[in-house]
Amino acid sequence: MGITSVVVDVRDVYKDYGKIRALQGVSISIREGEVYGLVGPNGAGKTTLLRIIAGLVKPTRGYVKVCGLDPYKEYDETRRFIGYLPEDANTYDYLTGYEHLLLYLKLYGSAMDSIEYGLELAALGDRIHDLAKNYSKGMKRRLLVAVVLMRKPRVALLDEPTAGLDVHASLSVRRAIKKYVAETGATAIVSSHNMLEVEYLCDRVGLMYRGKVVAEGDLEGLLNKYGARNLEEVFEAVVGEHQ
Amino acid sequence: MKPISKFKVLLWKELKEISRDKKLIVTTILIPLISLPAIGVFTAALMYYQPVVIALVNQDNSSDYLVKWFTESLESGLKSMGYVVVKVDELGSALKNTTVDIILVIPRGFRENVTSFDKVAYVEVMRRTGVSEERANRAEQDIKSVVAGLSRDISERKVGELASKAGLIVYTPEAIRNPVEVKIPVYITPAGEPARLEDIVKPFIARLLILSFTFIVTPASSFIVDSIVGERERKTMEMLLASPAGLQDLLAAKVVATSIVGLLAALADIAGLLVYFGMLIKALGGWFIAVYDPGLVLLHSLTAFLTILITVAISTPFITRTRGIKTASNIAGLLSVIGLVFFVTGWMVDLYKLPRNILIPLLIIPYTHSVIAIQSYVYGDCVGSLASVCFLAALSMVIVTISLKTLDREKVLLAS
Repeated sequence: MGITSVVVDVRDVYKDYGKIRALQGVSISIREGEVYGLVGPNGAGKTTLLRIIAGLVKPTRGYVKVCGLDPYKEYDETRRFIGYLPEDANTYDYLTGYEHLLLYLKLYGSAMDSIEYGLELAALGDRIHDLAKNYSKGMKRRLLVAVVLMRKPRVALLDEPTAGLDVHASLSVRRAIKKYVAETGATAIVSSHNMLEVEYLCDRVGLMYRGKVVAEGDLEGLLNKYGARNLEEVFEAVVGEHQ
Repeated sequence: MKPISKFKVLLWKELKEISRDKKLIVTTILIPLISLPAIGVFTAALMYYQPVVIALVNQDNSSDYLVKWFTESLESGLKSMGYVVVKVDELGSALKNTTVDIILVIPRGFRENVTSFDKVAYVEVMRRTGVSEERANRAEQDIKSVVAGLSRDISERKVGELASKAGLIVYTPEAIRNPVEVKIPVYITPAGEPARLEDIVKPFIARLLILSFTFIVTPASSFIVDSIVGERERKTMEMLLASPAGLQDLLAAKVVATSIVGLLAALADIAGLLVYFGMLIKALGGWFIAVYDPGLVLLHSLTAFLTILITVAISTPFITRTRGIKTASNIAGLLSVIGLVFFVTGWMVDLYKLPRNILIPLLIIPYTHSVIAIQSYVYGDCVGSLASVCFLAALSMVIVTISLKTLDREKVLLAS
């Protein structure tokens, strides 16, 4: 695979918050059209890494490029191809679902026809015109996924997209992501605690632990390497090695 | 899409959210609308139901007609003014009775002194500590006024008696006992014209309007705290920060939306005051319309908007770096207290008349200009008022710009 096909390139990235080192020498390369899963326990550094790739947080040191641009220094230029769904992101109580789509469409200066795709991804039917305070948690999350993906960003960064959702709601959000990736061929990084979700969505997985990527590879390769039956067992084995 | 468009989109979002929160709108209007009228009506009503109790102790044992007349006239005079007057035989029991606020003692020898030509008779007044200073002061003034009226009657009799002994006819005894007197003051406007009732009331309204900035600035501070820290805590901030919306646009939309809500509060505030004073004027026989000054309404609204804008602009960089809503509220509260100091001062002191060496350092504080803008207008100095408003507007822009320039996305996101 050629260099041009690497869409997200992170090399030896460190991030310190005061005396706390959140990331220590993280390096990952993600290719065009790939769905990359980031798994790891709380505090492993997944959210910090996604925020750095999104350009929201400046790395203390290291090299980050998204589509060949520095997302922090070239913030405005990188907005058009990055879509970011933060962990626990919430909706505005007093805006309707439709107004959420409209708000972000206008902020991104996207064409109005993108809203049709947003409506399709949100799949809220007539309730799209209800105030978001009346939505269930699953509906809110689906709406936010639609907000991020409706303008078809080349790189979608999804931090715990199904956290706190019930089985049914999680499934509908996962389907929306899967549909998006299949239809657009976009690159996605999905952070999750849910190993089944990662297995369902991702082509390649990076296991993070204490600010480092401690194992990386495609699902089959990781299962073979650690003699595991599923990703959960891989995770257990990797963490055990590093404790 | 141009940056101004993003600001407009964000402002649309802020205003949409605010306008749909009915409880927020109702309380924003209700608090300033009822605050000052409620304070006025409530205080007046309670003062009416809690009059000052005055004990009258007559230690002069004489059964002279003059002493009896004086005591009864004093009692009826004070009762007609709304005071509760109780006659007490012994000073000791009046002192022990804690319901008594003021004790009036007609001492021994009062009759002898009051009827002589070379001695002054005194009425002793004792004020109990702990009684509201305002109530006690007013009672003391009323006692002096009733006693002065009775004293005048007695002196007229004395003048008549002396004149008859001297074989003179005195047509106006007042000319002898009080040859020089201050006439009841005539009010004039700042332009030197005779003042009407509404001209006297308007400066009072203006001073109350200055004081009422407190009722506008305090909720505005809470709004900006909620708008920034609340949005972060409700987890809606990060997606906005990750969008192409400039940080300046994002925060400027919040500052302007908050100021617009503040403007709404300012209009409610002035409406409440006008209704309150309209009622007072009507009770005094005037017309409600007399207290309505469109210029003052416009000036107050504009000054209130700019005052809120400055307050939220100053507090924004601090609030944005604060993690919890409680700490952020305290920071905003601190700023409100600084405002309160100036608004209460503006209620009592004409800032624009202060000596230059005192005034000039105060001009650094934006709230000084808020006060001067209103005070100058009422004094008839429209140019001075306009200058203060312009200065306030310019200062608002500078502070807003500086405030927004000191922030970056990471600081806003992580409250660092």
